[in-house]
Amino acid sequence: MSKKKLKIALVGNPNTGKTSLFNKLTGLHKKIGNYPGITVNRVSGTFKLDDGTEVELIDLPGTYSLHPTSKDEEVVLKELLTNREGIDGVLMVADVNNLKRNLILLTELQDLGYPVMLAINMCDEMAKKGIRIDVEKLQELLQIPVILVSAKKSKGNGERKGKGKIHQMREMLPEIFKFSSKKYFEYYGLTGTNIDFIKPDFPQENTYKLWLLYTEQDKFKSLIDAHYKQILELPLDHSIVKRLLQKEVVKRYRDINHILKETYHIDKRKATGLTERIDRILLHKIWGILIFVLIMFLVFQAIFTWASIPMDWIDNFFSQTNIYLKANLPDNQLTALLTDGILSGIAGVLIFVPQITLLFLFIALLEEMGYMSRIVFLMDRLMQPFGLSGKSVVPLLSGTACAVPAIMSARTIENSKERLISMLVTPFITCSARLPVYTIIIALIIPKEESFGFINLQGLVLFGLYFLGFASALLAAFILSKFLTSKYKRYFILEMPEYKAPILKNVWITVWDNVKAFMFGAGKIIVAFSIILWFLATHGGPKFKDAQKYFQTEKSAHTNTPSDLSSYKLEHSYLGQMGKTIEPVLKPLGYDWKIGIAIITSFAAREVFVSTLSTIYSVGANDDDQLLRERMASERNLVTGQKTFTFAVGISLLLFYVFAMQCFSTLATLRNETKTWKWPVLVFVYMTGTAYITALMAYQFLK
Amino acid sequence: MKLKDLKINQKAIIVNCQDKQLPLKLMEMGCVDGVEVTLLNKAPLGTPLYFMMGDTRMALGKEIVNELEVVLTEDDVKEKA
Repeated sequence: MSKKKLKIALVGNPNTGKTSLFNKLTGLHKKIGNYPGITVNRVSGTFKLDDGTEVELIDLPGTYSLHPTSKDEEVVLKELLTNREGIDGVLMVADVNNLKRNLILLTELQDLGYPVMLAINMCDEMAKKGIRIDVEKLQELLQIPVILVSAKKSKGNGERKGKGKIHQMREMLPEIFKFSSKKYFEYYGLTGTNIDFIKPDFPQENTYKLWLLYTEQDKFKSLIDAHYKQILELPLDHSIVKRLLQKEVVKRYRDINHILKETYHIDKRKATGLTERIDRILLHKIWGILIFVLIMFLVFQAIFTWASIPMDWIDNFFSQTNIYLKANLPDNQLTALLTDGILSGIAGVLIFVPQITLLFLFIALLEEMGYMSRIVFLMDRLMQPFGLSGKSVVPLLSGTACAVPAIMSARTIENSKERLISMLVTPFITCSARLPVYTIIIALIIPKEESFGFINLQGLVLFGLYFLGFASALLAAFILSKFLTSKYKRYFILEMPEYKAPILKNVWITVWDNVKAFMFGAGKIIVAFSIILWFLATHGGPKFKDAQKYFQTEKSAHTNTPSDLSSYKLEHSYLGQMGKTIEPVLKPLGYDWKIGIAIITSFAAREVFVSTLSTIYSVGANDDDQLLRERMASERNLVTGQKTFTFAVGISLLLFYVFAMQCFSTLATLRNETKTWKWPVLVFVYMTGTAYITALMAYQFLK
Repeated sequence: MKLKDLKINQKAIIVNCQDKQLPLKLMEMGCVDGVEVTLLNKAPLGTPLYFMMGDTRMALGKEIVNELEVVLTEDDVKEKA
């Protein structure tokens, strides 16, 4: 191969340590993009061979075969079949414990005509498990280069000197072109008259490619170019095709058994059954559930309580910096933009980092150790009626702290439909930013008394709000699962990987990848939005610009002018004008323009609702809400003279905040995870729509 | 006998994996005719069921264990008798 650049696809079954091997091979030089039109990440990395050849390694999603059962697996088939990227060869990763099953995919790749190299991973476990492999013989029989590696054990001095297994593996890659690829399928005689009939028209194509194009055509009709149109015109009987495909698997197993008989030996007496014994406890009807609840409680505790410590540091650091900059820089627009606009925006992004770090630390550890599959096993029956995966428990639970890390945690869900639904309904869960809003309104409208002697009424209402959030998430999931149809029927087939000690480096890489994806993906949008919001709150028409003058004259003329300048300025800023503009829309819900302003500003984060009201009512920032509460209680409508915060308005506001999509960071995260504005817009419309309708009904009934 | 009727630790052999109702993936994952299967565990709500299927540990949902036909291996039949 004289080519100076090689493009190699990394393919393998799930749970084979494919990603750890990818990390080892490429180091940290990785690029994460996504495949056009779908929410599957395209991960690639590069490395250089000793002779200067640059290799781009593309990590394709894990799959058991080239017959996809989900959108993610479909990527593998599409990329390899159409080869629109120009892939030169394939590096196939297999698990030493399950070589037979792994080789099904290998033979398919060979049939497709790709030069392949087989890396048998986890070879560090071979001795312990009594496995012996004759690599020479295996190379000879498979007619491809084969290497035994261990993503876990291949570090140390050898690696740094460039003599380790990973280095050897990289250098072996060009050898794939020395072998002419072996064919299996052609000898099975399964294509039937259909393919045989058109075969002469495609003299240069291999039979297996035509066969895949024919049998999997409904998965990518649009991708098949005019050249292959006649394949689509052939009659297709699904039940006949299925029988043939099943026969194909049987024949492949037969071939593989022949090969492994001579090359793979296992001493069954060495099997420890350790994983099975651990599972007897971790999947136990009582202990298993208890341990699961305990682990979830720990995750919850981490993102709710532990994360708040570094979050306070970040908060303090930025407010100190802001104060310092304002004191030392000239008092002008530029300084204001830098401090209140840009710096606050960056603070608004970094504040999420502790939660994301801790959540992904847990997820990566659980995934590495093999526990995530057990969560699916335990929880699937519970979540499946709502169109969710057992793993959806993680985003739904994390959502009680914050929707941003929670939505990101849905990444671990393999099935893209279940992943999407989990992301779309998580914002319904009552997050910690809603609490300050709930607290102040509940204190205002719900009497602080015990009902039936022991139930605290305020606590009961708060519980009800949490329940409402959770129930609506499940209901929304149920409805979405009916609308988002998938061409794949849902079968529950789940491999239960062996329990393993986590590779800490992998854990850190996972954590870092996710933090990075958030900071540079969603982060950009959040900073931009907070700058816009800052601009709208600090700029305005003539009454804003000359606020000092107008404020003095109006104050003496009217009684309804706010008592201090800052609230006067807010009222006349663009933001204030927006609040006034939307008043007619909010009036049926019982809100005036002041509440309207608070609703707009709380897009930055829901708790801003409280601080905005403080500014509007000129009570100033205060640690306890006592003053604000009193002020809210005495607030009266200027026209009707009635109280603003009646019971009806309070309930209406509570319902509004239960449902409304009042968080720009969440929308930015959804955009970043799905790579399209379509889903965040849909979430905004259905959440805020529900909020508006329920708040409207509540107010109209109760007023 | 269906796969769902297996008792914990009971061994059996798969006989109808090529049934029309069953997905191809099952076979690709190693569930082929003649493979020995042992029930290891049941989920708290009855299904999925967790098996050792040949060399692979796998969990299968209701829609599959209700369809898969098995025969008990001789060891197991003897023990019963």
